[in-house]
Amino acid sequence: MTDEEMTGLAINTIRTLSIDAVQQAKSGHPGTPMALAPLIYTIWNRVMRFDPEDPIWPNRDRFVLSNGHASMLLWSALHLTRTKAVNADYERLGHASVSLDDIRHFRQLDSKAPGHPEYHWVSGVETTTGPLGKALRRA
Amino acid sequence: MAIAQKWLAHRYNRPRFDIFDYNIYAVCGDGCLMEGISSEAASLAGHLGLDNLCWVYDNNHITIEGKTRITFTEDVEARFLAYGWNVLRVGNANDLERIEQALEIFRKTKERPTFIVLDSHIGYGSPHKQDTAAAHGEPLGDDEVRLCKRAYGWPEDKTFLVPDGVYEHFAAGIGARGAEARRKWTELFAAYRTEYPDAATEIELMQRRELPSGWDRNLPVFAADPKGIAGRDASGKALNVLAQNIPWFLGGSADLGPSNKTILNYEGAGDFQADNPGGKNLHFGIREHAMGAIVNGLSLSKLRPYGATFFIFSDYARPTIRLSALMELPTMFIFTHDAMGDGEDGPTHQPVEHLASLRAIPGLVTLRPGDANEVIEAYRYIMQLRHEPAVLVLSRQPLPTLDRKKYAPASGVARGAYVLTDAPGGDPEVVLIASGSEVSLAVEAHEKLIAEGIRSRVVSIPSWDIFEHQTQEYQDSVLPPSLVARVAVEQASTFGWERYIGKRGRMIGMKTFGASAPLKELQRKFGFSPDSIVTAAKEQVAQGR
Repeated sequence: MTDEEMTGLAINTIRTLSIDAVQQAKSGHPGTPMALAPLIYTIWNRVMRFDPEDPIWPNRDRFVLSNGHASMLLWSALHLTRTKAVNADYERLGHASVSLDDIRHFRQLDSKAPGHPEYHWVSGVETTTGPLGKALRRA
Repeated sequence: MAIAQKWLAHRYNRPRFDIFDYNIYAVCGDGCLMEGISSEAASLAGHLGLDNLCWVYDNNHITIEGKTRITFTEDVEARFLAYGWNVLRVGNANDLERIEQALEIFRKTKERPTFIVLDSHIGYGSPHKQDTAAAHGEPLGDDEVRLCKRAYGWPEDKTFLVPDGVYEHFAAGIGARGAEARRKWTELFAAYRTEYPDAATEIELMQRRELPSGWDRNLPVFAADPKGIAGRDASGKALNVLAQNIPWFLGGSADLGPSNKTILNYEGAGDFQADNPGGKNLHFGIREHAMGAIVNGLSLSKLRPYGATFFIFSDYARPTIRLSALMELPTMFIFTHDAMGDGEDGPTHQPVEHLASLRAIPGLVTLRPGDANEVIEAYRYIMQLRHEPAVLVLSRQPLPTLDRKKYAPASGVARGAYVLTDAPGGDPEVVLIASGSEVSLAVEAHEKLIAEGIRSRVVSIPSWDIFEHQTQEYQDSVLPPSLVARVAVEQASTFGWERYIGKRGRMIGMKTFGASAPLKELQRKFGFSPDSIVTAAKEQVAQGR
């Protein structure tokens, strides 16, 4: 497989995970992830300086999804990069921040793939972004 | 976050040691840019020249009610150019090379934040829903999902499929790049620690949300004084001590610094500006909403920030205070000119329902100290919080400094409410409960009641939130269940006070808006005087007999 084909596959994985999660949950926002998967792919896989092994490394680049309703973009990115979890006392834990099972349970109780990005609930989320626009200033 | 990076870089980077040089990428949509806060934020980011900040605007022309031509037809690019941003456009959201190029230009741009307009198609790939509002906030439906997958060349019947090689592809991209960057940084930081041990220790403490040793040294203690000192003035003294003890404690006001007394005026404190990113005084301008969000962003970056304005304008910042609580961030909001302190300005400037509204936010610690020493103890309590935000509600006018030899020590603040004083000669017959500027009125009423042979107790209750986290035993010791003759007094909405005064008690509070008049006249008109407390207390005692 060429690198270009692999890139296309990675982008479409973000799209289809998002579509499937919304369909499974019978609620959510599929349209924006379908549109912005290439952007998220580029920022995360080609540009951002972020180590999935340690999502609280102090000098990491920060990614903020202000349009938090498109949260599946973030859950896909955290899952596909195999970002690791940390706890509230800033200890690094061994397991995944967002598992495929969490994505299967998108928007369900206790899933690490809630409706909107939630800081303190999902490692790798830099800020809670519920109400539109608010995260722009925190960024 | 962008302000935090600038501040951190200025304080901690040294020649050959770029400890903090990260960037912030934010993705936003039409809705984000319609909300007013985006204007406040973009205006300040442009002013401060935050070149570490990149917003990508998903320009898809669709919101829930349909096409944006019915709501949002402004020239967004011109707007951001006017804010002083570097504005770029990528005309096709599927063009990776152009996106990457735009992000590259962002990284090379100095002294301006970057705004990338990305033209996209919501629901891309959906034959029936692309470019329609139907793609925004509802599932596509099984048939349409299948058609989308067909359009992507994807197996139509597979769900939650991660094809072979995809994880590895990300591991080879962000994974390898990130691991290498962190490895280099860790080595750099080890060398930094050898050369600059004090600075390295600061960074480590901050990352764990801990305080440096001696963080509370030199906090003032105020001697008894019937004339007293305003809550905001005592606060100003505390802030200036704490900011010197804690290097990463910083903040400012939404253009009311001289009135809020939040300006750090010791030598070297400095003003945060594009050409002085080490300044500890932040000037938010008249942008309370953005201020609250910036305070959150600073805290997310592990600094200890505060924001300030008049209590009445907390309304503008309230959504961000709520988010602070939701995110469990140890932020601080200092709101002065509480109650009717802004007398002549009238009801538009007199908070009524604000205390009740903030007390209703889960996890938020709201404190309204009763004298200068309670203000100091409130700071001592707040600074030790690691996962809760706090709101400090302070008076504009001087409040008598209570004689702590005669009354209980102000350290009772740490328990939310405490018995300030009891009458001699047996169990109390009536309890007077007050916060903030009304504490000294209750104490005055108490002295009058004693002179008339009525045994009253005074409870100072600076914080409901803290009090309710004490043991039931402690709560009952302060407000014994058997003591039902109760008078509460607070210059704010009576809403919620039933929990302390019960069905039988009496509340002296606000049931209407205030009025425009000198403070003393307002206090008389609305019943905030020792005499009206005495009258209410006597009625309570008489009812019980």
